[in-house]
Amino acid sequence: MFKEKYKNAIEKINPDQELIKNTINKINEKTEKPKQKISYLKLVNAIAIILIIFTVCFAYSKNIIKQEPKLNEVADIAPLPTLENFENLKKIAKKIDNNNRNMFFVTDTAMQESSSESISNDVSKTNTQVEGVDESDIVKVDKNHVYYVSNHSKVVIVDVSNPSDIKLSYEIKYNEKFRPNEIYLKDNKLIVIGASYIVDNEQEKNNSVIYTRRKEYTKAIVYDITDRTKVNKIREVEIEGNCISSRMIGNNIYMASNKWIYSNNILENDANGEELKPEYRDTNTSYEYNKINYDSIYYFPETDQTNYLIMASFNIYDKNEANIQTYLGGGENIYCSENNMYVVKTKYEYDSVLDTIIREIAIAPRKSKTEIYKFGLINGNIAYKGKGEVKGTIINQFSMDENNGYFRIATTSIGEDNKTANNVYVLDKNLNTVGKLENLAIGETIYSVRFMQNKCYMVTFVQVDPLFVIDLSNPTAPQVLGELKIPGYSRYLHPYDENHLIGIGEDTETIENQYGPRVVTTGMKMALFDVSDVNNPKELYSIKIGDSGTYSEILYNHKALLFSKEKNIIAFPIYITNEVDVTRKQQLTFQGAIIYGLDINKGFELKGKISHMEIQNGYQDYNYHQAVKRIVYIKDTIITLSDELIKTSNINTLEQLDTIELTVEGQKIYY
Amino acid sequence: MPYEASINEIIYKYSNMVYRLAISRTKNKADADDVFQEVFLRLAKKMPEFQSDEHTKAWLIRVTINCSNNIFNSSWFKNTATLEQEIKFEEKEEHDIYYAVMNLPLKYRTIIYLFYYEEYKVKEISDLLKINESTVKTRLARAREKLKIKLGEEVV
Repeated sequence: MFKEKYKNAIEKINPDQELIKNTINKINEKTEKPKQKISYLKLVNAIAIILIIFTVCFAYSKNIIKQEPKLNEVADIAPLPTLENFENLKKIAKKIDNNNRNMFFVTDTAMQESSSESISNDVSKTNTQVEGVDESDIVKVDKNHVYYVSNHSKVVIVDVSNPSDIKLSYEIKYNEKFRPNEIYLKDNKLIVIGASYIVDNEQEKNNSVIYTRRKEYTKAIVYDITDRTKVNKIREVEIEGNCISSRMIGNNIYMASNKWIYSNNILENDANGEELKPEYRDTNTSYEYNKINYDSIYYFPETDQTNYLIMASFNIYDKNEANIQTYLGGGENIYCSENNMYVVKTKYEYDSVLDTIIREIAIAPRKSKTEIYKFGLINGNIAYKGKGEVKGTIINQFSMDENNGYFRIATTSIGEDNKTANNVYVLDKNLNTVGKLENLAIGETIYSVRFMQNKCYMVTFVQVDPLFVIDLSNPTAPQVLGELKIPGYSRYLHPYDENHLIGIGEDTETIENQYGPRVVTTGMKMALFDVSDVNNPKELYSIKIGDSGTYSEILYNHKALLFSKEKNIIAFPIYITNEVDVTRKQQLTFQGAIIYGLDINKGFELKGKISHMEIQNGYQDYNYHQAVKRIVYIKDTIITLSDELIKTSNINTLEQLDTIELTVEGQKIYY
Repeated sequence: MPYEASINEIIYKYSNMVYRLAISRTKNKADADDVFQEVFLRLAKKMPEFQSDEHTKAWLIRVTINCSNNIFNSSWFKNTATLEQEIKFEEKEEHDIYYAVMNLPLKYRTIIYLFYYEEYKVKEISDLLKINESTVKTRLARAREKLKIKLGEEVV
């Protein structure tokens, strides 16, 4: 079936004989170099490295004496060294290359979180992790308008002041050099965050260099939208690399990007490394790209990466240049409180060369750590505040939290016997571990986590879902208060009130067959947990949605959730599949918004569904661009958004009020 | 018994695999050609002491992934590079399946290739890609869901 057909298809793909021949010729050319010259080079290299080490030591010690405060002045830790020059970068790259020839970069740009529901009852806000820290999303609303990124190709502003007669106010279109991803909205400013892109023609011609020929920048464009029918671009800020995440606190935008450099590219660069310097641009001061010099790139002495972590911060009202900082390192995920940004990265452990080889042969799971870099955010400035490390890996930004100056993190690690174990660590302001709870639910993996003040709620899973309630009121002695085992698991935990949590995830069933027990998902599940008795958490209500195959973006992106306690709305986009007839074959039966209410005494109540497409014959009727992606509300109007359509409905009756069609720009997807 | 293979042997033995993995990741022939050359040039340069066929293969898979990352370690490329239907299939089903997989995000394409074509186990993929087993499982599950929606059939 799928496997056979896929295999057959793949079998048809073969490299041209010409390509193989060319490759062999190239290899022969390269290996014909006289050997003596190589060893001579090595000798020179060795001497050079020794010299560099001396120079660096000297420069470094001088640096300490000078005690240049620079960006570290607010931190009570030793300042980080900078690269000083390209030679130093080469040296580091060399060390890393030797230690770790197989290392590469896995980036997961999942980055978001939050629990604050809208402060003002009038309009919905993006479901963020931390109150006061805004996260970008594809849609934002204010009292009269919806701002929406359609198909990652344009931004539309729609006037919904009269929900029965909605009008397109303005469209911001982009060419293929910019891809808008998400937006922020603050009063009369709209900030579009996306990726801009440059092809380096020089390198394109020289086909032996394939590395940095495409340049990508993380770009923020600030628009003045005082006149919603004629927006004005006022500023662009760009940093090289692809976006890890961004946040907005007050009037300040913080963005972090990774610029990947291949270590050979550093080692083989005989010039001064000019083209490997990361670039930035801020139209407040210049329309040209500026290079970041090596003497202002910081590095962590024990780094195992040759990537740049570039951070930019700026005030959207400011006329000054953005604050740009670059570190040799990398990030995969971000947690951000109002005062601090934590950038984390997985570090795989290589105990020894022998161990690496044994693991390669035995294909054993790799032990890993999570490195945490802390940056203080003060009035739009970023200052490095320290580094910490814990065992295991995180699942997403909700695995992290800051409370009363303590940083808490929940991880899944691999123990001595190659079984998974789950842990919670509490770190102090200097990122030293002060409290820990290790080896919870051996053999299971974390599926969702939520920290709420002094408690941590953690869902792990193998066959049933234990919900752990962990007390963190004493940071040095976290302890498990209670646990609840139920079938299924939650992928996302949302606080309903101080005693109740909503869990959204999947329902499961354990099937026994000749191979032993096997867990299958049987549809989506939403449950309400009562945690008022911390020693004895209870599942008060649960509902099942659809059959196996049903899924929603909420399972991996919290921004897909619309929650308002006051309006009594829990809504998210969903694909529902059902077993249709006696054959028990699953068919897509619905795509759209599903809207629930919750009565703490009665349970969940389905208020209704809103769709942008009619599905009668399963997937045949499915159109990607009509799939509802977000649900928002303004006063008494529910607004559902897909690439092609924006629809307004009455919040109580869910009756359709009006629709507006959008033309789909950019690459269309047909399936 | 020491394991020895000349560079030419390795190239001939694994050229299909490297190329197929490269194209699964880059989605186009031109980039796959670049990756292909780069992988074997690196092999020639390093000539690691392989312990076994499995070891050789694992090394090549990782380097292929590295080299393709180098070409396009950018979310822009992953998300928007257009997929030209430059590979022709005679069977419609093969065409549909191939392009359905190619339309998946990079991280899913790679896992589908390693799991269904190379028949690596979840644990092995986790080691090859240096990501959690649970992440592999999740990605595999999501890729299946996506393929199911596209192809209208259960993907097992």
